[in-house]
Amino acid sequence: MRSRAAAQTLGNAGFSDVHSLEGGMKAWDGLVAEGIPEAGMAYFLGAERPEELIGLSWLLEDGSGIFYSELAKVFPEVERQVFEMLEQAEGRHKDSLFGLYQDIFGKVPDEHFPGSVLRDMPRERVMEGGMSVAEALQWTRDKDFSDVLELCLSLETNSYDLYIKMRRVVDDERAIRVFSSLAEEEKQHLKRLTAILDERLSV
Amino acid sequence: MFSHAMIHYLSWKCRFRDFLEGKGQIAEVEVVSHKDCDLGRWLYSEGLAEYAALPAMHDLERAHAELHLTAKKIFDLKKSGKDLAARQEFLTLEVNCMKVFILLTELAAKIG
Repeated sequence: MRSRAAAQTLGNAGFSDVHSLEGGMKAWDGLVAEGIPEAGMAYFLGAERPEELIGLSWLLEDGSGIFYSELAKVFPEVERQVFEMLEQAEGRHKDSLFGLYQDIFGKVPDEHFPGSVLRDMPRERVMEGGMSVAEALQWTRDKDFSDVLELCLSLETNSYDLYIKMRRVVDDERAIRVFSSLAEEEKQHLKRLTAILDERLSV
Repeated sequence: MFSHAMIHYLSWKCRFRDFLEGKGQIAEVEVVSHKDCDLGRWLYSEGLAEYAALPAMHDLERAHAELHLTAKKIFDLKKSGKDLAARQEFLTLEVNCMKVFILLTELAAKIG
């Protein structure tokens, strides 16, 4: 099962000791389920070095930005604003990661970034949660706003989790600061999305 | 990982809905028992023991059990040919799922 391999790769990347629930979640039989794109694929990249972590994060933020941008095109006004807010946030996260790369390495990433810093680039565009952007968009086509919102909540939770892990595995103070800040922002998104879901519960 | 649980439940809910609309199949065991699904197995083996101090964990246990109770009711309605009633009851399941999602998010933010 691909997700098992992904979890192993995550462990190989040094994440296992920092994942508070990893041990407790042995009972999970992976998250693969029919009908939804599989998460975790991006972890096959096996990122370990700071530049890889930055590149991987940037790649996932970029994919998520595209995902939210496409969703904003198909949902009506009020719902569209949620996706636009998320798209703008992903853009800011990419800027933060770009800045972090410059701070640490003293140069602007080259034109092939993030491909130039990752050992293996996925063949298709991926986003937070490691999902294929195309597959995720395909999945959303016959779904209503609540379904899509729940998917976004899952992805943002996954992203929050990833930044917490990254914060714990890096040594560089600047990287710790940036990953902490990104985790905090993801947490704010979670609060916002949860509030929207809460509103729908009370309707 | 809580995000995995969320994706699992989102997928499960959509497959269950497809089943009610005659577009697919879902195993009864996946629907009726709150202790035999992935989240249930984790909750009752290590989750509740490890995070017993968190009130949200107990809220999650209740919301999750309620979700499966609703799911069982829907499954039984469908089995007895009451398709319309099953689809109407699915609205309650949507609300149950939202509650579980919100609690999983809260726990992810606390434990992370």
